[in-house]
Amino acid sequence: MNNESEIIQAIAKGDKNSFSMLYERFSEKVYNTGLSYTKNKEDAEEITQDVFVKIYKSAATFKGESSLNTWIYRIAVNTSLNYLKKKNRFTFLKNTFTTSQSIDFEHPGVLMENRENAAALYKAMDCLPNNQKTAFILSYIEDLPRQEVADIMEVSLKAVESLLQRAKKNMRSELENLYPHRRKSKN
Amino acid sequence: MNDEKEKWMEEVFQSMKGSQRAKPGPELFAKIEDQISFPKAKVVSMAQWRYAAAAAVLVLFLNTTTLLHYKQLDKVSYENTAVADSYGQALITTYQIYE
Repeated sequence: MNNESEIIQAIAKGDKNSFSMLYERFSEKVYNTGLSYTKNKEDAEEITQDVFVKIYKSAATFKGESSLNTWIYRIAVNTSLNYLKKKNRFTFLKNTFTTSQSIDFEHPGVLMENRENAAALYKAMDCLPNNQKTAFILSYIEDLPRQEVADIMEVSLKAVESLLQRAKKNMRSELENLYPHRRKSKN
Repeated sequence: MNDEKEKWMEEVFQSMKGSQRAKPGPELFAKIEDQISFPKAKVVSMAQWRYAAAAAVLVLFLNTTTLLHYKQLDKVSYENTAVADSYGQALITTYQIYE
């Protein structure tokens, strides 16, 4: 069973094998999207869990207007943003150490030679508002084509380009502050 | 110097290119299946209970204070009315000269 709509129809009927197949295909994409937003493995797993439960429950509502990939990414992005909103509401009250945790985030899959730069990238991403962050994560971390990013975010291609431009501009000013540290650590 | 910085920033933006995807824990799928089969009841955390209790105490305190405040105002205005009434009565009795 390879056809997307066949898989999703089977899931809607409660077929556990199809659901397992879908999990195999998409769990890493969902998990990595969650990880980019939260920079925390446990949170990313919780998001992945929520996303797949939502997929299972709402499989019958998938109309095939967008690709399965787009639909699942859209659920992953919305779930991640809601998760962060909920988490930040309580961390503000509890005053926990989320910020200090996120500063030293190191993506487990990053190439050895890019480690330092990737850490700076994740740190600079903290300054972005949600729509710019989403456009950036989907384009530069998930490496999706711009048109698919536009479909996931339900905006035009032009809007995505503009969001990315603004995101990079904002991140540049954050990176300016990190640049001297890098020079020092290199010398 | 500026060129070097620009080059570095571009490298930063491209630093996740070629990275491998991180994998979720192997037990995650079983957890998802569990949640689908036995949907978990919404658990209200201790912190949420504490905030709710604090809000309830605050509302109770404000209500009590307001009630006491109004009671106090009522008492004062009753006393004033009583005093005014007694003046009035004295005035009236004073003018009942043909009785």
